[in-house]
Amino acid sequence: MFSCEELLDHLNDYLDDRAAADVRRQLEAHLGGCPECVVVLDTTSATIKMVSGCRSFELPAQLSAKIMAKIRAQGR
Amino acid sequence: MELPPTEAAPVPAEAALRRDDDAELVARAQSGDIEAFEALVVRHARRVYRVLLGITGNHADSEDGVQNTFLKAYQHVREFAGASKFSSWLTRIAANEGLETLRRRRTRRRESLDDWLAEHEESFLPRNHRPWQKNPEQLVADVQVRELVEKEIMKLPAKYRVAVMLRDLEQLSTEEAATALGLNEATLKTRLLRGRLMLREALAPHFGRRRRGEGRDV
Repeated sequence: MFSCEELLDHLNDYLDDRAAADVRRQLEAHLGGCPECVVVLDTTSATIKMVSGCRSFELPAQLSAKIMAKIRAQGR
Repeated sequence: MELPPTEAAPVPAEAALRRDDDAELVARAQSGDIEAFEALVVRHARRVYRVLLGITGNHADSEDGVQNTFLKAYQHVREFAGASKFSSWLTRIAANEGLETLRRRRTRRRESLDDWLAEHEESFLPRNHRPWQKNPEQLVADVQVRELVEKEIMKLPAKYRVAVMLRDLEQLSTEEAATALGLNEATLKTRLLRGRLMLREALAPHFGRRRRGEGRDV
């Protein structure tokens, strides 16, 4: 069974659903007895969902038009 | 000018399997069709902007960087041989542009190229172990939460910020993000983990359940 630090080593793969079956088994065994790591897992997962869900940092208005104006002005 | 490394010719079977949704527009752009190139700008400008914002942490530098990236892409589009996806090639140009910005500001800003290049990562252990009071779907609907997430992402060091932005915001695969940034996958994964954990730690005080007698939550 993993320690808390070993769980962190594999956290990305687990959250991204890329952990090997054996790793997943050991990680879930650790989670069964470690409420603190359960919180870390849940809140890291929530953090990822918030970043993807917030749709932050949209392109500034008119930037695409500015790019094309420069390209047209410069030509090839 | 620093462009992505020369592309090795793809094995025919690989090339056949690698579908690039941009292929037709790129072919037209390569033959001088400026409207086709404009369509590529519209399609990819947001990702290029996020790559630059991730690396430079500065909106004005990023806007300049987006323009430079597309100018360079336009000037060199005929050299693009299709060994990678066009979007990967373009993202690599953007990353180089962002790193060049870091080089220029090396002596005047706290975010330096040295930090980006450093391979050693100190371990980062989570400190906050309180469950959050709301689920992420409830949280992202709140404009204030969105602003908070943006603010905390921008506070991350560049190498962690761009990993989080490419993987979790732009939804690139680990392989795509690593290729775009010129990193190996292991380094990208280490930086991504650190970035995710640092961001979680920064958000936790705002969203964690309070103990009895403490103030209100977000």
